[in-house]
Amino acid sequence: MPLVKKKLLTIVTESALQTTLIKELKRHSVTEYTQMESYGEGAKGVRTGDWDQNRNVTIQVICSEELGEYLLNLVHTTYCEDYALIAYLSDIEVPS
Amino acid sequence: MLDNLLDPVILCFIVGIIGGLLKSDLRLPDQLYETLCIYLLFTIGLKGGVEFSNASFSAVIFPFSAAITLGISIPIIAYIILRRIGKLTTTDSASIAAHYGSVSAVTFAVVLSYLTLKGVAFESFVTVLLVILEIPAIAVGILIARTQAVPNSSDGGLNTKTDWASLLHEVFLGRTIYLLLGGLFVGYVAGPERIKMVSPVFFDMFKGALAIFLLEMGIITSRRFSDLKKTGVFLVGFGIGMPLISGTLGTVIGALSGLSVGGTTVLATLAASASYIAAPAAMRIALPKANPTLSLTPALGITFPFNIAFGIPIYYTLSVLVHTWKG
Repeated sequence: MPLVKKKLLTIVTESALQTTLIKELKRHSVTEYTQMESYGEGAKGVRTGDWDQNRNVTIQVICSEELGEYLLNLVHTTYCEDYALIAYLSDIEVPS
Repeated sequence: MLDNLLDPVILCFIVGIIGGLLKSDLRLPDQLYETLCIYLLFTIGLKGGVEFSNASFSAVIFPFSAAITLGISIPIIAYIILRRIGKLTTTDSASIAAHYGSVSAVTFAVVLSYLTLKGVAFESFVTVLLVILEIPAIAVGILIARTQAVPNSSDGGLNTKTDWASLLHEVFLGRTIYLLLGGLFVGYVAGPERIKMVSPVFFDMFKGALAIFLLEMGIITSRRFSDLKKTGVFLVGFGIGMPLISGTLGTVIGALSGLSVGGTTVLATLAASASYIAAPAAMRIALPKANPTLSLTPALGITFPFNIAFGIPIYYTLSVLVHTWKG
């Protein structure tokens, strides 16, 4: 099966930001994404998932390198200062 | 007050707190917690809706106005205390003020259960007071931050464009308010006769469900205790002092608005309670620079257990006293 190289953008952040982030991604023509509930601890506190406001969310988007780098930069500069957020890009291969 | 501590619901809460402090691995499965949350909120709405059909417009107008007055005045008082005495930043003060102006539905469920156990009657429309009180404080908190923030300073922690549409959606169509309003609607439209077919599930099991829910709330509350070191002594004192101030204000305004002893106790408890569901979600988006630990820790770690164990009997006693003086 022929494979093409793509980027996987992964954003892990507090659930309070979920709706805002999805809107932001959609504004930048992202039409497909995956969301997962997640828990964790970092410099900005512990979110153990014990109730609604104490959860993390992991959002993943498969996109081109150009869009991935743009979104990574956008998310970092807009939200990183005030929210518990980590975002990264990884190389992946998907069926063409 | 000792009587209140012996209520099984409160005892479950205490067992949860102790379990959390002793690092027991006790934890309700997420889905059960969610289910209980939906069940409790919907039942409160349903019960209010069934009884609401008896209320007349003239009977509700003053208590509703009283709730709006409290919803606006409590965050302003809290803000002044936090800013002037606590010397907190504008944004943090506004965010904490919004949490204390808004309400806790679980505390509301406990006060209803407390009054029912004591055999004290309360007005049928108290659930609507909960809904009314939830909203204005969040808006007032954002407005305070917007008007008081110094532009271009590190404290100007407001999203320059507050997305009011999203915020209103978050508050009105968030689970808490939607379930309460939905329950009110179903109860009101179905009426007392038709509701009997679902009453074994909703009304007879309510207190037991509340007890299990509070067991989990005890664990969640105890986890906040470790953050108290970060919030400082002032906010610990604020967590007890503020509900006493707003509870007293709620008692006086409630009695003046014509509410009964039971209704006044409910309004005072609502005024004294602090939100840890709707307000944190709204504040996190509207005031991103506000430190969520500073608002959530006193609201959930201090005020919530204080109200459950000691506050509610205090507001009831105050309410009886004010009604005696009023004649």
